[in-house]
Amino acid sequence: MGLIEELQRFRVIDAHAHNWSLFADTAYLSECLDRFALRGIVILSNLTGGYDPTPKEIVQSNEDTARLRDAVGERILPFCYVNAAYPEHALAQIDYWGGQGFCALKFWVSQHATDERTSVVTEAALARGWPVLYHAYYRPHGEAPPNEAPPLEIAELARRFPQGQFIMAHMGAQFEHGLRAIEDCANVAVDYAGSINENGAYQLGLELLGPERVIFGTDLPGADYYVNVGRVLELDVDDEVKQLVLAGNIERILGLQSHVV
Amino acid sequence: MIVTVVDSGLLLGPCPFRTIPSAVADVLALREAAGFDRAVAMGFRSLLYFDPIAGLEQDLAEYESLAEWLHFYAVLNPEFPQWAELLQRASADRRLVAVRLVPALHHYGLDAPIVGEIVGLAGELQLPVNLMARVFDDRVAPRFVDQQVPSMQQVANFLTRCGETRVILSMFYFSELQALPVDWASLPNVYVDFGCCKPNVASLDQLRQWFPLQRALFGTGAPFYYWQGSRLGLAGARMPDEARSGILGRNALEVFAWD
Repeated sequence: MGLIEELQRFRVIDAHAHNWSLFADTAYLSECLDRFALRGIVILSNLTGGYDPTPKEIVQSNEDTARLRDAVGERILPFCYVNAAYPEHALAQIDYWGGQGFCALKFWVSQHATDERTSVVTEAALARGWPVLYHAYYRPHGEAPPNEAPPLEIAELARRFPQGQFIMAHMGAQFEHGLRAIEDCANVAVDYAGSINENGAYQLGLELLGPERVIFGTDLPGADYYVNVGRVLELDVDDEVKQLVLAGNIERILGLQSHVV
Repeated sequence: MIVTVVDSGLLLGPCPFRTIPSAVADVLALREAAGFDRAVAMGFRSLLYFDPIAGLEQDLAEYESLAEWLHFYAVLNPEFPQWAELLQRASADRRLVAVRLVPALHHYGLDAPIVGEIVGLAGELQLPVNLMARVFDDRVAPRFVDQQVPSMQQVANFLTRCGETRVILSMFYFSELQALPVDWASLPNVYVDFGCCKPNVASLDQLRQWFPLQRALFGTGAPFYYWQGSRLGLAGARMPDEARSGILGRNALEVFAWD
């Protein structure tokens, strides 16, 4: 069996993507959905406004996500993007987009996870039944965005809201650090979306967190779909586990069974 | 069509900060799973030992039972006194198929005269020179790893000075390669390994628009890096099957002068 044929045995949802860069072109994004046979794709934001977006830029990002969903259809799983440094605006965004079919909250790098304003916004999202996907990075090198949350902060936030469901993106970048940071937080799942390709990340995730807390995502379009999904196919685990990672876990977290094509 | 598969970029041996599955049995299992006929590897000992020859000898000894199909780069640190001896050693051993330079970790300039001497002598000995941009992901390597990736202008200058010597670029990112101020058509002896280059969603589809595919190689960095995603990326890329099979192995046969 060829590599592509092996992939086709599984249903796949990409739980981490952005409608920016090449995916600002809706037609190209739709073509990729078909080409990759994706059952669904989580759209987190188009990153308008950079590290510290204004309320106006946040609105623009969420409107672009909504337009994409309206154009492409139910395979687009829209997450509400907020900047918790503007808590009143973030709460209003959650309220508004919650009424427009958005299904979860996305934090990027504009606020620390330990910031009180983050807690206020998180509480509102969780009250709506939304999971919270949080970018997290442990950076041994380079200058971090000023308010970027490292994995230990995600653990602190998750402990503060033990009833809530969190997704820590990128396994915190350096996977041994990130996974150990949230290992004891049963309400935190992880994705390994992106171009970091270090062998062992998924294996340690499954070992420490179990098969129901590891989620497939890509960070498309900035990373390659096949490169990301191939990491899961490479794992020496049962197909049932791969299927949980590739779609089952995000379906459960988002309550998607009836929504996904 | 019988397709030869060559992985031109394995990373083997004891990694100093993480256990990776690279015992002989692991490498055999990797070969079985990935289906490659031959591979070219770099051992961490070759890269990191004070005495690169001693490190290389240990790598060769550990994997001697795989010598029929597993080849190695001879990592050469120009500041080590016996670089010329290592070059001669490489040219005399069929298991050693190229010299590898890793200035990002050994911290020397590509414009140093000694680098030119090495490239020239390698060419005389019919050895390709592999220039490795980095070994580890720049963002998540341990803090004590100080990788200083050469500027793309330095790399471009290096390539234009290499003349008839075959050169392979490895572990450069797509964004870096596309920014290299060179005319690839005018560098007929330069090959690029695209197996570990951080492609975006369209990088491999667009590769043929700017790079001559008959000079593209594919090394995955396994087992330090995941291999199957990279291979799947090539399998799914929009390019002629003939070009794909060349990248997968036939081009490597040419650059390493294998029959």
